Amino acid sequence: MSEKRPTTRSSLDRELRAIEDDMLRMGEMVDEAIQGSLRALAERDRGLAQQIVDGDARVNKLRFDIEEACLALMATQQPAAGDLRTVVAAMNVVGDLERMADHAAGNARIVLRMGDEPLLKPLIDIPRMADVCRSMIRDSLQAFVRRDGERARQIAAMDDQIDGLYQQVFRELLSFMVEDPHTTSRALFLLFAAHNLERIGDRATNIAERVLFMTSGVMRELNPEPRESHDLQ
Amino acid sequence: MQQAARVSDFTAMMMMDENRAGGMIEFEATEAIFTRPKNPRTEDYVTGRFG
Amino acid sequence: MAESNQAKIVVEDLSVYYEGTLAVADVSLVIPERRITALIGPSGCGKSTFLRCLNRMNDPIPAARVEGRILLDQEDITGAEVEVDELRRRVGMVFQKPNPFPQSVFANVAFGPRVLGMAGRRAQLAERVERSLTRAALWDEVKDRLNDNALSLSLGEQQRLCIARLLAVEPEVILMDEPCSALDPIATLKIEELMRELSQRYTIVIVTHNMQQAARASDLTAMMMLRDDRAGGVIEVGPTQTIFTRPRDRRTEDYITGRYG
Repeated sequence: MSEKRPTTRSSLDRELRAIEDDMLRMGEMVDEAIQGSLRALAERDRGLAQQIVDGDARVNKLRFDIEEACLALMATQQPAAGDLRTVVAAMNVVGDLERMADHAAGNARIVLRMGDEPLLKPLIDIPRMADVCRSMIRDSLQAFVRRDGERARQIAAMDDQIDGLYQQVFRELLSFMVEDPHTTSRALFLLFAAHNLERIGDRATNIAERVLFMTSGVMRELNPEPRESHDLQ
Repeated sequence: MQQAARVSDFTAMMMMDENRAGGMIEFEATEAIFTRPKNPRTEDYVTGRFG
Repeated sequence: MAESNQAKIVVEDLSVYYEGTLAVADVSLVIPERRITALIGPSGCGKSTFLRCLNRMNDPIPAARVEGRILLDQEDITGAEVEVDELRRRVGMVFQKPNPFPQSVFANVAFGPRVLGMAGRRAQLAERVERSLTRAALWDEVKDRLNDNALSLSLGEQQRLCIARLLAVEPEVILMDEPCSALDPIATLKIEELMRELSQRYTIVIVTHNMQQAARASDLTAMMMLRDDRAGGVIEVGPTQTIFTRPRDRRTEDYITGRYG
């Protein structure tokens, strides 16, 4: 795409920017939900957890508003080439963001379901997973607005970290349950929380894939092992 | 332009150079020209961004 | 965009007869001020006939008869006592084929003000001409060619000159009858950008057979179609975004999706 672009599509450009701004705002809401649900888990804050569950409706609404804006833009501005890929990518990304918010709300619900039982173990790997997730989301959305396909490619590698941490959590909680079956329900709560975060990481990889599609025009799965990646063209 | 997109199988993008001579700058399957053109000048033209 | 803008023109039960045959039937429409309203529909459905009623350009056609009311700022313009020249100053028109006078660029834009006694002193007139050409996004292209014959301009430039010509007499409404049909895509998009800018000051009504143009460039879209009695009527009107994403009338949907005949 050329650097300095002529301005005979000012309405189109304005509408695209508005969609991107809303997408970033949605990303912030997802980030808050992830961070909040983790804090609620660590601090056993049921009030905070409830807030996050209630806030999910706002995220859903924003998703539909953005999709509506994309629909209107396609109908009225007939985007082509890069513009078209951007709008299509944005529609997919907000779907992924909405699912992420669902997973974060799922973790908040876990806090509510856990009642007053003490945490089975101090939280170490789970918060690390959340941190990596949040970085991936922030970075992939930035890559989107900057049209940075190279950055998007790198983000996929971060998902390896999340998968690694998840394996660790799984093994650790499994051994708790094997050693003392009475810990099972508490272990499962933590396992579900970790699983939600692992799903969030997958969704963030999807976003990176969409960014790469947007910039390159090619839809490719971003595998952890680049040598095995396939062109789905 | 939308007509070209609708009815053709292949599209040739022609443009003037600085000497005002016309030439073909890109030739592709129509679907590729309108979803992922290779030449930035083709991209500018099909997206309607003219100076 | 504010949904509830003031009405600039209110059309009430407008019908047009050509030699006794009904051509446009019972059109009622509200044209909001400082917005762009597009009229779309198949050929022959009466769009241009309707448009011409808004500044009484059907008057010179002896076979045409108009019934109903057209209110400009709440005053009916259809009466015999209305000053038609003044009406056409306030409600100007741009045509499909650019029609500059075979005179210099400057003389084209100065013509209206001179005839209407708005010219004032030479410096004031020059200022008015420059302002009009600037507002028509043409000044940069012609500022060193003001004495050149208008017909030496490209078609796109000629069309913008026609717009400058009508801006020079300080209109309130700009009617456009297929203004880009004779122009290439580049000139067309430039005019669309210009329309967007002009709509901040002027009310614009455009007739176009180019649906994508209506979708891109307008705020409100009215769909016209021939009824069974072969007279044209408005079958649906709404915000452009709505008309092009979820029209209510099946016939509008068919037309917009290109499924007709």
